[in-house]
Amino acid sequence: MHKPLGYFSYLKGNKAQVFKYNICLLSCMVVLGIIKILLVSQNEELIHCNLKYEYMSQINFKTCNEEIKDTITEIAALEEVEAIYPCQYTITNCNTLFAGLDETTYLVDEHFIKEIMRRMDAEIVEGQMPQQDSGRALISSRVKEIKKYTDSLAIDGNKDVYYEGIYKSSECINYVPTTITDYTLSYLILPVLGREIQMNEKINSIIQGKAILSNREWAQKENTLVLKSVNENFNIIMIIITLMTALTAGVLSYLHYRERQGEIGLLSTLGYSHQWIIKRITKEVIISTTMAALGASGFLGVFCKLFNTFINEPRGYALFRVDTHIILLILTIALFMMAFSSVPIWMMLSQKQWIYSIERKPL
Amino acid sequence: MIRLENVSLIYDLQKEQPTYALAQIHLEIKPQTFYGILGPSGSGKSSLLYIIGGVMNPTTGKVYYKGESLYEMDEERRAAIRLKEFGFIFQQHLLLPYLDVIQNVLVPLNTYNQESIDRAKVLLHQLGLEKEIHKKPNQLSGGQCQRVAIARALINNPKVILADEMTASLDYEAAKKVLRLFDEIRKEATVLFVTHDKRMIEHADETINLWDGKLGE
Repeated sequence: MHKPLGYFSYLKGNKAQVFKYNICLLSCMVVLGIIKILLVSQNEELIHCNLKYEYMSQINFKTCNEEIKDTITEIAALEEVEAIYPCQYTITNCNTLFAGLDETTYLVDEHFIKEIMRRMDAEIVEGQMPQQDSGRALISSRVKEIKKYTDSLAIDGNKDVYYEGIYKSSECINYVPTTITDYTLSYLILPVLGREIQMNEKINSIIQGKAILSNREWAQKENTLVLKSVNENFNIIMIIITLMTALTAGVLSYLHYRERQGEIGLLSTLGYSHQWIIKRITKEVIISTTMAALGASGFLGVFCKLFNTFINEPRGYALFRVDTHIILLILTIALFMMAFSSVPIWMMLSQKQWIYSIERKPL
Repeated sequence: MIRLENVSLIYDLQKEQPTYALAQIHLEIKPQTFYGILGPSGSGKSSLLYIIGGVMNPTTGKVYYKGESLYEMDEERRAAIRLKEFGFIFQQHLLLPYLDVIQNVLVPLNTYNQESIDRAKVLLHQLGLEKEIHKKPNQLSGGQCQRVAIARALINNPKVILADEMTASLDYEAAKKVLRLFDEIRKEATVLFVTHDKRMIEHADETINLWDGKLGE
């Protein structure tokens, strides 16, 4: 048996009410947690989708003319450039919230594919490399939906090569081996290892507006701008939703304890001081909020696991996770809710003549 | 033990004709005495009880308990005195619905040690409720609930017991048990009870008559 005025005596006798109250708090935290998970994964998607530039730079000329030959010859002669490969064209799918990471597909020479795989330190299983001009791509399973490519193949040993455990994918860039005979508008440039910054500086001075060089610095700048905008918008939404959920929790608490005015009046009359009653109610709020926070954390963990297993990993990545950001968020929401829940109750308790609440609101 | 000096309880002070629930009450309450408070409805009986119990601030006047002004001490101290030395029995039983009988009796102590449980069981036995210990209030009759409330008021051996129509919902047998119990208690405590019950009045050592908020003969 528990102390008469202990939390668990109250819980035992009011299971339905406590359950409803805790579920409301938990739901608020889960909603915010999911938004934050989406935001964090979106941040990572945006960062990771340009990680192909770890291995190569890409140059796209604006117009196809004779000048391209000379420019490419000049670039190829740079000591920082290890190799330069023409690329027929690229297909890039939109990276939306649930569309997955980098969906760029390059149509390139087979030699380039083998070279890039070597740089990725990926073992190519014999028999899995598609034939040149076959129209089949060395791609991951998540691009099955691209109609042009009918087979999906995986490069063994390439898992986690980019993202060290966070992102699980067999491949994030797709290659279709093809024969390129003429000069094209796009080229993929492999730098000498450790010299990419110098290489990109020299290429920029060579091309001077005639082409666009996509490289790691450019990608990082782009990401910074996009991320800033995404995060600012999401943060405003999060703040609004946090305040609304905290207010909701406050109103719920206030209504919940208004229903118990009779009980509060009785305890006050029997001789429990206002301080004691406030302490008791605050303890109830803290316990309820803590239970809701633990429940929300558990729920979000299960949510991430299930979502990653059934939706994300088949696409080739698994970026949903409950990390310190999410835990901190849940703790912050819990604190907000405690404050918003306690304040109206403390204000209600400042009412002096509690004897009237007994007369008007029987238990 | 308890002294009231010029105590008034006035409502609607701002109006032209304010309402006097109690008007200039002077009263001396002796220890270990059984007082019956009588009067018609609306005469201020319950208000007098609550003022004496330190629950309701009088508009004017002072209430002294053991020489100290009850309403001039801080709220915490006054609450502590109520908890340790006063026992309240309300007109409605006011049991906490989520606690069983024995937990309700132990509410003023908020403890669950063997000594207090034994004391609670003794009280419940004296009131004829030994078989209802683990029942919830919604499983009891009104009279049974009122008896639980009486046990709750007596659990901490109060020096002052304030009872508002405590036998109103009790049948003859139950009321007899209560009176028997109070006959023992009156040797150590001061009892003030509001009643219309002749059986209670007969047991009173003294009566306090109220009429329109004033003390009558």
